[in-house]
Amino acid sequence: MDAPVSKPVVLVVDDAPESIDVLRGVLGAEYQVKAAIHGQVALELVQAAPPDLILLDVMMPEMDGFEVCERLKANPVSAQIPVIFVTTLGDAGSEGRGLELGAVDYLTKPYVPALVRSRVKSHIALHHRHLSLEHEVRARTRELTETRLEVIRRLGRAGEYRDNETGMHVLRMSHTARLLALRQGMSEGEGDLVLQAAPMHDVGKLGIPDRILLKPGKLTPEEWQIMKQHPEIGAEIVGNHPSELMQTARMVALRHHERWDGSGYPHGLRGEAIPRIARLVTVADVFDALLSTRPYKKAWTVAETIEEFKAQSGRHFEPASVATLLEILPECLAVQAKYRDEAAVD
Amino acid sequence: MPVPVEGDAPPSALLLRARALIESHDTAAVECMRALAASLSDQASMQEPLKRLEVSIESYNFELARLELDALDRAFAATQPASRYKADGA
Repeated sequence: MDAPVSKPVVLVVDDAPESIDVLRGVLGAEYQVKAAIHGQVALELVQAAPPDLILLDVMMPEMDGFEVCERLKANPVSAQIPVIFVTTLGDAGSEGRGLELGAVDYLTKPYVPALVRSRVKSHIALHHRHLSLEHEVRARTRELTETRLEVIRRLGRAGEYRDNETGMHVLRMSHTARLLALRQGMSEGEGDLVLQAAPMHDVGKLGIPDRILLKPGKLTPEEWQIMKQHPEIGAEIVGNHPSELMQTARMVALRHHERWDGSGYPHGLRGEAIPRIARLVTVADVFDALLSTRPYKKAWTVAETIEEFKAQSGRHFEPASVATLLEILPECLAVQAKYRDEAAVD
Repeated sequence: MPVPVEGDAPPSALLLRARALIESHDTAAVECMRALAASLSDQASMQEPLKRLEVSIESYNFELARLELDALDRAFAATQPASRYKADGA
């Protein structure tokens, strides 16, 4: 046996049973007609199972139709449901007020069946079209967001691939930076922002010649000057798009080599003049770099790395960020283990 | 949406359907009520609770109807062998 096809649901809110009888007779063949004889009951029904349309009588005891409508429109669950007010013939004031409160239309008693059917059908069709469009927009927006994040992630890793074959450094340091942010009281949303922006910190390396970037030995002063341009190159690459993510990514690219004591580059910012997220990213970046093997150095041990951070607290690094790192060291080491260089992922 | 039942469905099935309709404030409870009244027309002990349920449903007072249906359920159960009524799922 085929499953029964669900009919659209019309909720009639009216304290007069004979009025509900009429609407049930007019609409019952095409719609599932529900009824509430009190405003409060109607609100509870809508909250539990939102109907496709509400026919709402103006004149009801205790809570009148206007108050019901106001409450429906103030509730996100019911705000989009079309409401048709039911008034008595010639009550132009009620009709106007109902429309002002967000009703889509009005009907007058005594009912004209063909008019009732026509209005209900039209508004339900519009409502369903609206829901369908909203769904489509949400899906497209989600797709765009995911695409944007993927492009940013890939671009960040592109910079990293220049001097790190697996590109795992950006994963480790961005997850570590997120942990630091959350530990310092940032929200989940801010933590996600850090996670998504941090991979862009070294994108400026794309603009550094291989002979300098991949040089195994010590850089000459001239080469070092070129190398120190990568934060500004990175900021140029990220651009100046107004989105919060792109602005944060630009800031991180530009500021991740500034130092707490003002000895960093490119602008020698000092202390809290360095944006908070950049201070965290710096710690996460160096933490991972010290624990990793690079063309010019061996990997440091955890103990050596901790000693370095303690020694550089208040110099290279913000003391509070170093303290946070030490507080959550086991979690940060778990990130190291999870994204090991040999476990390259797509 | 409550599952529909045939017009000649047993009273126990109609009682279940009536409960589902009443709980969702579905005005199809009016028709279900009529089918229920017809199926129990030979049960003298049920006429009083049936009448009260009918009045509450026809005035669309579903909160009251739920209470009246509870009373009707109890009256119906009293007319049935316990094992059979339970087997019907009520």
